[in-house]
Amino acid sequence: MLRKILRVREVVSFIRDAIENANLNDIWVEGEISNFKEVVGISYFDLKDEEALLRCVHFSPNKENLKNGMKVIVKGDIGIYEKKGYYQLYVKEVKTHGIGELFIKFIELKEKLKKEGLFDEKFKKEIPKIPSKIAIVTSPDGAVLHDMLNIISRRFPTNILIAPVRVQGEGCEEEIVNAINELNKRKDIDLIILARGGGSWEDLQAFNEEKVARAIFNSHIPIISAVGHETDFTIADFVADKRASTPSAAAEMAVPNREEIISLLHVFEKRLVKVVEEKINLYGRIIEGVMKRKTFLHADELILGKIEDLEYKIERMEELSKRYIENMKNTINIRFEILNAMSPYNILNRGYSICFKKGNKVVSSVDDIYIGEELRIVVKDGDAKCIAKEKKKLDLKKH
Amino acid sequence: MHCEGEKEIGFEEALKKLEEIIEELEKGELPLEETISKFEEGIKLCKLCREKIQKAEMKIEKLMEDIK
Repeated sequence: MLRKILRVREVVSFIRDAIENANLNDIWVEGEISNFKEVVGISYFDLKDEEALLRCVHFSPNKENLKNGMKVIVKGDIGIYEKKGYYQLYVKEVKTHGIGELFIKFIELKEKLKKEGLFDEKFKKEIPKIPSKIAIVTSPDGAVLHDMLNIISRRFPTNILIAPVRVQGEGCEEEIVNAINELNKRKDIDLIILARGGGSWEDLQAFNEEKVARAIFNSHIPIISAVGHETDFTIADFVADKRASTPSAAAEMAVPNREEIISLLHVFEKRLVKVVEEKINLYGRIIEGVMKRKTFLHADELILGKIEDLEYKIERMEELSKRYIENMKNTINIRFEILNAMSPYNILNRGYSICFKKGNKVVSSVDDIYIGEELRIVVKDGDAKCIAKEKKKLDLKKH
Repeated sequence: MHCEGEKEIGFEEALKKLEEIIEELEKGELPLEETISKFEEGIKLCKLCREKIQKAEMKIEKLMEDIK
């Protein structure tokens, strides 16, 4: 590649790639300010140490009141300004106070714990929406605790356990660690608030201690961290499950507003009623739909029709049976007449007589009679015993 | 909550259960009887939550263990 003749832009591009690959982004650099100038709201300066110099640009007017000779720590990205052919640090943050050992330690620990994953989102626990008992680890004196209790009492009175600790001074981090560990031994706490009011960077140092960070990380009870002012970020804030910008904000984060919950319940009730109403209406409409069908609307007509039908049939049956009975009666009468006509008693009534011989046998021929035989003659009103005196047979051919 | 031995449901749990019931009801797939019984359960939970809110009071205690 070095054989051919390169263009300027190619070389610079090559260097830019090399710089980008180096990934010098969000780096903190300490040094002394020199060559400071502010032009059109942009600050230009060099950072130098005993052996080297780094060009810096900060797209911001000189808010920090930087002067040549000041020792600062700045955060930024290394990039290349191609048109002018140099690389520089594009500054994002400038720290002039609280620097030195403390700040360096802070940055180093922060990087270390971040690499270990202590700040990872996936380890952060959900805080309960409505905690049943909150533990507050804070100084028992001062306005911080008092303010938090007021806010909680106003929003949603809850059971509180106070774990009093020193929040600054030699060895106070031990107390904080012990408090967190003791609380974790209990079974009744579902939220911890670790709080401390505003103060100087030095005052907040307990919350930058590694053992405090680990105690927070290892807590199985979720922790809200609220340390210092809104713009203060301590390591505790990064490890905690939630960070509040102030202790008062933590109190508001910890409990819901009673009024909101009451509204929510109201809405829930409405929704419940609505669902049931709709269900009932739905069934009502189904029933209505069914009732609109002919079967229901004209049910009475249909029934009446059927009843009429039935009545007609009954009438017919009555008629038919009457007629049948009449017929029967007639038939019986006719037969009766016939029978009657054939009845021997009829014959007797007409004046004829019946002749019986011994053994109640009817005499129907002269041949049956013997002269001198006893015969019985029955007439309509009685009978007489007779003896046959003589007999004569008729020649039936003549008749 | 009349019988003492009964484990009372926590406030947050109650609210969550209530929300679940409402979502299930709003799906509209339950038959009428179940709808009514879930409705009753929901209303009971609403009442319970309301009671808890009315009765809520702040009790403050201090951690006695030696943490110095």
